[in-house]
Amino acid sequence: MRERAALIGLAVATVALVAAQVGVGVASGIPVAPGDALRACLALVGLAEPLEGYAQDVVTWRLWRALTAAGVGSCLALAGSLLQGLFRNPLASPSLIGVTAGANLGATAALLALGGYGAALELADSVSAAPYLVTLAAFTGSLTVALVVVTIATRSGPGPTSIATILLLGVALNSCIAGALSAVENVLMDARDYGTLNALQAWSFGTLDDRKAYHAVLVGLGVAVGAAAIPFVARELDLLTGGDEDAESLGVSILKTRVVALTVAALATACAVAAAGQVGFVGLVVPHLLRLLVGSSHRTLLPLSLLGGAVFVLGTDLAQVLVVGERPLRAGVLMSLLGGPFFLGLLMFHARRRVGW
Amino acid sequence: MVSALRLSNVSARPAGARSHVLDRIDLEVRGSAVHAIVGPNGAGKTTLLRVLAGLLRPTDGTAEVSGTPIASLSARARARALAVVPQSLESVPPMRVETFVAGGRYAWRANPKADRVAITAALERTGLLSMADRGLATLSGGERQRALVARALAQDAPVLLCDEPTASLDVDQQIGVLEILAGEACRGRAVVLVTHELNLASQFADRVTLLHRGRIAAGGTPSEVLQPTVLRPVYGDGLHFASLDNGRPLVVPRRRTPDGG
Repeated sequence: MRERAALIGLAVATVALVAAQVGVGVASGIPVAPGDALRACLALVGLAEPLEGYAQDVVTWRLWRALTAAGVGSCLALAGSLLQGLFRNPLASPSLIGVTAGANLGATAALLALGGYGAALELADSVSAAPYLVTLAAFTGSLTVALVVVTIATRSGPGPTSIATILLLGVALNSCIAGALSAVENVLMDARDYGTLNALQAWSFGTLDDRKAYHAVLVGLGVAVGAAAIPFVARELDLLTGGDEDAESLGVSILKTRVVALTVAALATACAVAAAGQVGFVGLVVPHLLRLLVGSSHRTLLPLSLLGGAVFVLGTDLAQVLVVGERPLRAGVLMSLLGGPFFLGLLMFHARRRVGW
Repeated sequence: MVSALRLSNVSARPAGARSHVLDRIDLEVRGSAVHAIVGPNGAGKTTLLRVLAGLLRPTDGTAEVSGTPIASLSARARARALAVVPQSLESVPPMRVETFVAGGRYAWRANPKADRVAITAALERTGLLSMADRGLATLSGGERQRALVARALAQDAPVLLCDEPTASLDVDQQIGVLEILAGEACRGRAVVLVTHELNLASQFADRVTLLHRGRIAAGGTPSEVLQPTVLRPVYGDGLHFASLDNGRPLVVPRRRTPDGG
């Protein structure tokens, strides 16, 4: 009952927040009447006449921004829920264990090769498949880091990965990747390539400004793959809570579950990073809030993460406009400001709480 | 008649072990009986159970369930043939008792109606029906152990493999859990009971296998195995032997130093 109420509530909130972002706008003082906003959206699919002047462009720009924000939240929250279930550790999230940074490193390599430029993360128009190549590179980076984490985390034997192991792994991997990115930036600075340097810094802060249709399509791809994978891992992750051998004795294929969960988490993170750069803490905060609301079953948690992540990113993005006004913080900066204290609170909570069989 | 379980010349070495923990084991387990595996610490009891459950592949020999090599079965097919009752879990799953027991139905992909019947029957037979809505974390040690048994019963497998299911339980809870397992043997299941409690094996088992240093030291009825000439070479001479009213042997430790010494 509570699950159904949460599902309906979050679905309604997602639609309402997208509509609010399109109607009210973020970082844009140009008002558009609700009827006009709807007409402009319908015009995008050829069902209405476009608005005159800049209005059509303003609504289109806001729509892609809102859809990208929703998709980024969905992808990161789903990845967080999957990783937390897989490691049986509530502090595992894509940004903390370095999966987000791995995607960022992959995307950076692709940007350097393909010629990305400008703070808005534009891509060279000459390469039509560029967004997808960047996503592929980001996926390679995130999957590589995820595999490194699993390999090291399971070396200590079966059982839940300890909080200390997760945190140390995260510190080590994030440091390695930050070092590599700094080296790249150093080289660019020496070469006075300020355009590319600007683009890379924008990736590392994460941004939702100037999103286009392909950004929304990218995160839509991550959401679609994630949603399709849920029936193949949800019950399995629930059964894994008792241990690998226990789940195996119940008929769960541990290898298949690990491969599916890890691949989907890496792909969802890659799609989010390719569309908006590095945005941290969504994968940590949203699954925790949802667990308080509906419990720990992955059959409920995973689908709700898709909606909860969207609501969280859309909501905080809209809220900060109301608070800060015309010059809002970049998404990555905002999430770090919110997620950092939340993370510290969680650490204190888990340090006090130990439940054994 | 096909044995429920059969090991032929099985040797096994768990990951990380320097040498074989099991050495050329031959074992046959039949249905409608409780078969206890006893032995001192480090004898290889749990490793043997892992081989029987298909969780550890033998380095040599074959392990079969109902005439089929266990290694040839998929994870789901294996779970439909063999249910495991572990001593404990790595952590308490944050779920209701009924949801936990429903985990035993994973291998079946059955329809919800069949699942409901199996889950209710398992809860009823373990005396947990009235606690179905309680959180697993709120149960006592004995109740949690019964929840593990209930989940294995819901699995509806003809073989139950139990690893020290009464460890850390008080006497009353031990009897409760073992009577449930003995009842399942009466219903036709083959119950393998790994235990270091010789007297529980004596009271509840139909057959006893004594393991020592990875090899079978003896096998037979409780009266045949739990006697001085068999146990003293394995456990030493610190044992006192007696017999209960029902004729089953009683084995108790005896002080090696004199009283007050």
